[in-house]
Amino acid sequence: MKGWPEWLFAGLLKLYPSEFQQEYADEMVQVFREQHRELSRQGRGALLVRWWMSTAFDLGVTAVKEQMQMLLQDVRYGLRMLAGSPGFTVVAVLTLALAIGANTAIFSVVSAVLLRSLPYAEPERLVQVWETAPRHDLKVGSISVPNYLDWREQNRVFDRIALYGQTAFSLSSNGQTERLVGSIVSANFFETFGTSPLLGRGFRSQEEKSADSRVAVISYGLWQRRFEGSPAVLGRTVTLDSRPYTIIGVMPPGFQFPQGDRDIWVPFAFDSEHFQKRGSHSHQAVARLKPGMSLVQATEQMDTVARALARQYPDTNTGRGVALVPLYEELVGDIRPALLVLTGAVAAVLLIACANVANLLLARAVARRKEFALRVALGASRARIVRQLLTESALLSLFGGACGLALAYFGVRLLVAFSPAALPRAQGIAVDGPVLAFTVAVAFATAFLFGLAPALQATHVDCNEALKDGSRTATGGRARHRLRNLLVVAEVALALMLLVGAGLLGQSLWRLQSVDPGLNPKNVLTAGIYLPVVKYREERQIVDFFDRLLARIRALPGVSSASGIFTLPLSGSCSDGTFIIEGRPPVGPGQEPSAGYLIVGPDYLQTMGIPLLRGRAFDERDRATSRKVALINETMAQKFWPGEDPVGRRISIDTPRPAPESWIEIVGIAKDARTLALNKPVRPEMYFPYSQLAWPFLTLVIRTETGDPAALGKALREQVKAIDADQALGEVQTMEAVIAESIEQQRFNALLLVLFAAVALVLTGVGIYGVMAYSVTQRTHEIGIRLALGAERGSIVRLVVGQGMAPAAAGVAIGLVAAAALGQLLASLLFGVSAIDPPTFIGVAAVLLGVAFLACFLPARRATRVDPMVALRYE
Amino acid sequence: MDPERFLPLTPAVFQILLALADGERHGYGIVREVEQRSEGRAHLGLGTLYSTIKRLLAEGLVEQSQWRPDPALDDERRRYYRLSELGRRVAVAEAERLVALVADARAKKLLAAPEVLG
Repeated sequence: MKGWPEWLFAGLLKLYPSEFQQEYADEMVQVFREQHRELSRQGRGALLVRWWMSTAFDLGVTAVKEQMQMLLQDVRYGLRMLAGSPGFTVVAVLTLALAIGANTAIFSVVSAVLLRSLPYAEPERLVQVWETAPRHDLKVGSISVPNYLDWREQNRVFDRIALYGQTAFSLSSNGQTERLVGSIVSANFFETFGTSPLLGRGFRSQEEKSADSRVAVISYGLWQRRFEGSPAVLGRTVTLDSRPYTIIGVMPPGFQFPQGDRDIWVPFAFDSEHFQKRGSHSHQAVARLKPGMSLVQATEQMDTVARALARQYPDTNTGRGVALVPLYEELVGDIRPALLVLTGAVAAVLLIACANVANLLLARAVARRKEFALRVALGASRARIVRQLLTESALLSLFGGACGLALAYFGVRLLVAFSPAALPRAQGIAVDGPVLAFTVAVAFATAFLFGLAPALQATHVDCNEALKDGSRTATGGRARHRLRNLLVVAEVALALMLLVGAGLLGQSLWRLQSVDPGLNPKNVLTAGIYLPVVKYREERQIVDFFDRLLARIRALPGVSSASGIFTLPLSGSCSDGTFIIEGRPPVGPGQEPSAGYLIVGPDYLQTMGIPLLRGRAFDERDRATSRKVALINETMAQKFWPGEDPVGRRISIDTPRPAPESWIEIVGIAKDARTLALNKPVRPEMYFPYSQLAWPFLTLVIRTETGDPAALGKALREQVKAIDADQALGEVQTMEAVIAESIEQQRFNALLLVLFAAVALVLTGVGIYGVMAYSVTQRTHEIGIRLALGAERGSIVRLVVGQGMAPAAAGVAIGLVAAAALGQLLASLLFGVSAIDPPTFIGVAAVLLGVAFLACFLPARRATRVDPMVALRYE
Repeated sequence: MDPERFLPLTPAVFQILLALADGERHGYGIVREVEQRSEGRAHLGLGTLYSTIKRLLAEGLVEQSQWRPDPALDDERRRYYRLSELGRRVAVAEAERLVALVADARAKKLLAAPEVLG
């Protein structure tokens, strides 16, 4: 009877390849028994323990060596087999390369955008802080500086809360002016992220107290680009917006916040009256939660602070709350559904590729029946043959993976080049370590996925039957046939889902592009310009600058009209405010209606091609000293003056108690133009002339006789410089490009999904064709008999096509149900099209059935052209 | 076949070839012979022993022997191995290689010169 030592030893022997076990296990157990008996007889426990340890170690090491040798042998054999059928190998490797490459490319995006933690210390404690105004349907709104200062004082939930606002600077040196994208931040900004400057220091609290501190921290990119990475940059004085600033720090590479490339950060000057208006909501805040503080607890406590502020400042804070959003959610929350859909789509492409290769392997297994039968007859176990076939699958996958990786490398570059500007963390997208690990994992998983079923099928070998010379059971039996049909069903269903998804997103995009923006973007150029408040302190200076600039631009050849606006329609920015209608019953604080604020120059409507429906547009009469005027859009007119004529009525934006001089007369109604987004409804909007409501940031809009921005860009810059040599013009872009950018994300999603769907359609077509062509080849003898017995060729075609179309039709039926479920997932990405859009579903089903029919018909027709006598002799 | 192409041998291979130089032995016999000859300094693990035997059989240095000892001393489950002609030549070549190495060590005065007998 075996004792436990022998059981244990026999267990360790299972580590060896089965062939080795068959050959030597009994003998090894026998030797072990004799050795063990002798050592036990000697009665030296320590010796016995040492012997056990060395035996176990030796068995482990040699078992691994034996396994590796076996694997090498399998690999060598597998390589010979793959080299022996180059056609099959090339098709399988290319199919897998396409699918694995697409998966790797998309994973590299998902990995960089969704999976990687934010590049800040303890990023899970960082939250974006928003003001809310539920009554105005504002869930995440900009915050006012005084509110921020009160939150900073009164909260007990944050380690730090930092304020920031976007701005632009003109950096002048050596007669050259460069426009920098920057942020004005509170002194604790960098500490909030837990990131220290690479060189120098961050801001000190006293530096945010005065506008005269004039220190700046620059980005690594600007340091390299403008200062050649010299450490001497610290302490250097640069001219920003005509004022000297001292560079005190350089941030490390990779530090970017907020989104996009920032060149420079300067501290807020909280004593500036520009930032003292509690009702002016134009900044953002980010905070670090105290350790152990949950989001719910923090939100509750900040609500308490907000309620106290509402009691203290009812005019501005009634109905205002605080929302905390984890920073990760804030940055990637919007993109996640689209990326998950794309991930699902490439995974479907991979599954279709697997189904195709599995079908190829099944067909190949039939051709190799004799080889397997011979190996079984020579004593090979079924597990051994399955292992050999899986090794061949793994080799195919690894080759496919390697080619896929090369494809992914270029694919990622294309993805980054065509990705929407708003794609967060796009700078981190690359084929890196985690992506490589993913590709290897996918390659092995793929090998298992497409290799196992054919391998198991292939090893059901009847040796006698298979080894008979000329045996004609080559169709491989009913089980194999069923498996092939199942694979066709699966790939048709998956392809249908992808095509429906692509169809829905494609239609969405088409409808989005067809939305009338309410303005005429053709031949309109845009360029942002930001006047620094430190230099342009007086409203009169701002108005004067823009008046002179627009007069110069209008005089340029090729310009038919020019104006400016804050904020440019469809640029992603917007501005809202409350107002009061004269003569209407007073409403409580926080109950005032709100509308979009648009500050424009004269000729704005004409330049943008927005029709004026009633009244007049702004003109030279509208000056700072004259009667205050406004235009409203159609939606505002209908919402607040239904059935009445608002022209001549007065409103005030000085809420909640308007001063007598604050009333503004509505002088005209403009047709609705989409300003927020093409897929969002038009909101009520008010236009104010910049001459009466001066604002330092305007986007110039210029209607030209040609649409080429490059042609006018230089002249525009010269006009700006002619008025103020220190001012730099922002990017010159056509309005058409601005609109195109506003739907970049949708276009990106749709294009990728259409691309994947096209690949899926081709793979499916090729897959069905392969199965049918193989099946017809195998049935040539049977078809020959039928023809010899007088069967019509048409009936043969019907028979073959009918059999081929059955799994395709089943796949279409299953795919339609699955696509209906997919539609629900896509619903949030769709615009103007139902998630279950009958024309899309029917159209896609028809296309797939058409492709399937063609894939069945071509081999069927070829089979019927065979001479019956030749077919009867066919082997 | 040129025995030189198998050189140098691993310690385990050389020990097994040495153990079989006197005649047929079964697995446990080889293990014991190695231990006794080396006075316990060398030890062949069972994994190493059978992995090496498998390789030596495949390369033709060792053969399986049909020779059986007296049934009273035998166990029918045992397999006996013996040195092939090639295996013997390989063992000799390895021994000569080692002798040459030792001679080099002596020339470098790493070892004392052998005593001359007679």
